[in-house]
Amino acid sequence: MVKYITRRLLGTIPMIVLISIILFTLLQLAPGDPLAGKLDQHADANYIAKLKEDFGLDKPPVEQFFFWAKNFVQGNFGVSFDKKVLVQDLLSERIGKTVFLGIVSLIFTYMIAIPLGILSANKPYSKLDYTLTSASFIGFSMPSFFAGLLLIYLFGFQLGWFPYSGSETEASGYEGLEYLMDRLHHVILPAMTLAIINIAQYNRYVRASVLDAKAQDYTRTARSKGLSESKVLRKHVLRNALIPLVTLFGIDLGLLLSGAIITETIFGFPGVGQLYIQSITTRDYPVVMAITMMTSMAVLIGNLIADILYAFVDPRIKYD
Amino acid sequence: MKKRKIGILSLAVVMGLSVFATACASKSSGDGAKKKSITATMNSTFDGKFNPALYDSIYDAYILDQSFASLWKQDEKLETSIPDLAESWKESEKKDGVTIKLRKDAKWSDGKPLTVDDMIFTWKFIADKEYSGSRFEYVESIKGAKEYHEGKAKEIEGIKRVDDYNLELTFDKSDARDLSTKVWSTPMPKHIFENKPVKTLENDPAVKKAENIVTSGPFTIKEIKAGEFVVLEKNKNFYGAAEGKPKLDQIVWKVLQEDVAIGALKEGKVDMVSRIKPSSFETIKGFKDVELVEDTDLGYQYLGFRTDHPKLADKKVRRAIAYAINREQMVTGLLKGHGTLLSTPVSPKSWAYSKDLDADYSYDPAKAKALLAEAGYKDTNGDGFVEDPAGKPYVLSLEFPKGNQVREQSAKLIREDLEKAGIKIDLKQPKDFAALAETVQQKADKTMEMWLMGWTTDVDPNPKNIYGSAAESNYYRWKSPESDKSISVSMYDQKAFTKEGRKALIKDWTKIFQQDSPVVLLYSQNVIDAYNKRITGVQYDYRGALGHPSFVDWDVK
Repeated sequence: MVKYITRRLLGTIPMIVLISIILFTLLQLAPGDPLAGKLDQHADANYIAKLKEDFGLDKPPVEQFFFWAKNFVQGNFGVSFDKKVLVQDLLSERIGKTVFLGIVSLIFTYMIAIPLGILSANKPYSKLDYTLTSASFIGFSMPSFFAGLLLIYLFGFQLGWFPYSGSETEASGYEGLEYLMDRLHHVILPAMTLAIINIAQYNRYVRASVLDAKAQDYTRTARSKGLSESKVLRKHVLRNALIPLVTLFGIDLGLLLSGAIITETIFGFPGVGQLYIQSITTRDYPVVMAITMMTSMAVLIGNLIADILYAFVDPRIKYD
Repeated sequence: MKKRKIGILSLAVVMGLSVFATACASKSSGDGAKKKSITATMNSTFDGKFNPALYDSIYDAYILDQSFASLWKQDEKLETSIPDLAESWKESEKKDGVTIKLRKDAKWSDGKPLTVDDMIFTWKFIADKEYSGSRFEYVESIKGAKEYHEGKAKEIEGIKRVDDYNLELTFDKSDARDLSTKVWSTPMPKHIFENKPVKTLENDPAVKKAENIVTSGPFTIKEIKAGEFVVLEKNKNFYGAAEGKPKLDQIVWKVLQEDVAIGALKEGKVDMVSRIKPSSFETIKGFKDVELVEDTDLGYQYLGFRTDHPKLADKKVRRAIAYAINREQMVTGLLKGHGTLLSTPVSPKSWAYSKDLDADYSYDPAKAKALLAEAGYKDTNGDGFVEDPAGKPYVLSLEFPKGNQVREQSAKLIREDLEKAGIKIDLKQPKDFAALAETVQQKADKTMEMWLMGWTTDVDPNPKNIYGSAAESNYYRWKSPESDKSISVSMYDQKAFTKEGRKALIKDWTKIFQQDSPVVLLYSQNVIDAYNKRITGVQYDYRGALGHPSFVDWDVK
């Protein structure tokens, strides 16, 4: 197992190098100049030249790339072109919030999607199944800005159960547990917005794989042994049916860091997604590079975790 | 069996926490009731560089406007006349110097006195070679600032410290421009920044961390959450505190997308939404307890020409285009009246604005056609569009950036109008702002012909930065010795040293500008702010409500 993990980890290095080269090239080719937005009538030629020099933009692209790569390996993500502050400071302010939002939304997703999927599969082609299927299609096709605004209107404005924006109460003076509760209270609506589309999708997967497992020989064998239906479902069907979900879980883990651009913007939730979209509009390449690299690495690691988990859920899989 | 228990347990925990969280939060809402607090919103996130010499974003400026005092402020005519930190000042007759007297009761929010040393430190900071911001222009006029900037001098020659509260400035030369463009007027606390590295100051806690930022204005910065909110608290050391200013105890600035902000305003959850899109005006008008105010903004939108492009080099063609565009329709149709038609780059709000210049800048399609014919552009093949003097097809391209709805729509109107006048237009797909700006700025670019963009203008009417032949912002590549001479006269000639004299000189320049038409001025969108009527004492002008100097007198019912 250790050998397998080491091998896989080493295997990700060329991937990361490749991703960084492609990403850097794409950003170089994209139209737009990071300094273009800075120009107002007071920015004279000297000032622009000085900024270019400070940011290393006066050097050839290959040299810029190696400069960036050298710093990146040492854990230095550079200085934001737009805000002129260290990229790691910008990220560290936000990453915790994004991960928190992601985890809560994943909890919602799994807690709701799995039971719904099983319910559907238990009575396939029944009224309940059709209702859930229709609801899933609605959920799946609902754009997140709409879902977000709907939740804000209903639960934030009309019912007033949850805060309609932000990640914590302003000037609250909360500490300890109270602060944590305040954060949780704020994260529920955006997390739900993110979860809606996932729930719609995941309960389809669960339904399909439970149906599939139910038609297998081992399920028939279990039934003919005289086991109760609930035991068949728990011991024989579910365990096998949830294996495909592990793959999805791996991808989800990776995307935890990337943030949710639209949802974060609508809820004024200061996560990585909000910073990402802002950095793309202003062509703030160091920030875009850092976030994209971080996400790519997280997805690679998430996949590795998924592969390792397979060995636990499926005894047939062994890594040696 | 075990797994199931864990599942149920975790479900119970999450549910329990949510309920608890709801209970907690509703309990606490009564806490701030005694404080006089208002909540204002900004559409997009602030950068968080809360230093007057270093900020770049307009959202940072919202916060700085309320937390840092300046020497002086501008009145509703855009003239620097309202005293703030400076008790009084006097410009020399030849406009080559100024004496400034500071008020003695001004303090920093940490209690240290604010003296001329803070102001001198700030000027030297901005003139420092290592300084990374863009404001050197506001110090450059002081005699010896350039030498200091280049490292040739240890002190700035033109600054003379008389005592703690008095100083004299000498300028490079006699210069008729407004004091605000010649003298940077917002001091930084010397005792905080004195021994810090100039180059990397953006990363210093004294710029970023609420507890380290020392301010001089009506409010101090109490709490900053990146991308989310800034809480401002009444500054007890503010010089106006003795008179009970500001009246509010707290201002919360929240980052909120406009649609949500308008909803929250309706529900009474926020008190003020600033810089509202004209299209939202009618929606908000119907809200109970909400007041809307608007005034002409200082910025404007324009249609730019590459005047060095062979297709646009003839000024008769450019004039024809100006006559052919129905700009009135943009203001009434697209802006729904929430804007002003513009015929001079000088703001209609300014003391230097001459209303009679509007006359020769109106919609006149017949005149447009006549001018085109005069320049040799005629429809020779009967397709309804003019051909160039050589008889070849004549098509002009028009580019515009994404992001401003009204501007995007105006591109289509311009095409319709110009095609009606017989000029075929190739309307390009909108580009990202950063992408279009890159091409507009490229000095070697030969691809662009016409584009749409906007300018934010200064308090002073001087056109040099935007329309001078040598200006970095002269994207239209308008080279006019006549205009340059006129600009120079309006800045440095003795006749310009009186207000009336300067106004006449600027009018002379504006005529040259209108005749040559390096751009077509389109419109100036209104600043629209909406606030809950529980706020009292609100005044507004071109700066909107929150930018108006009277905000220290705001109160809540």
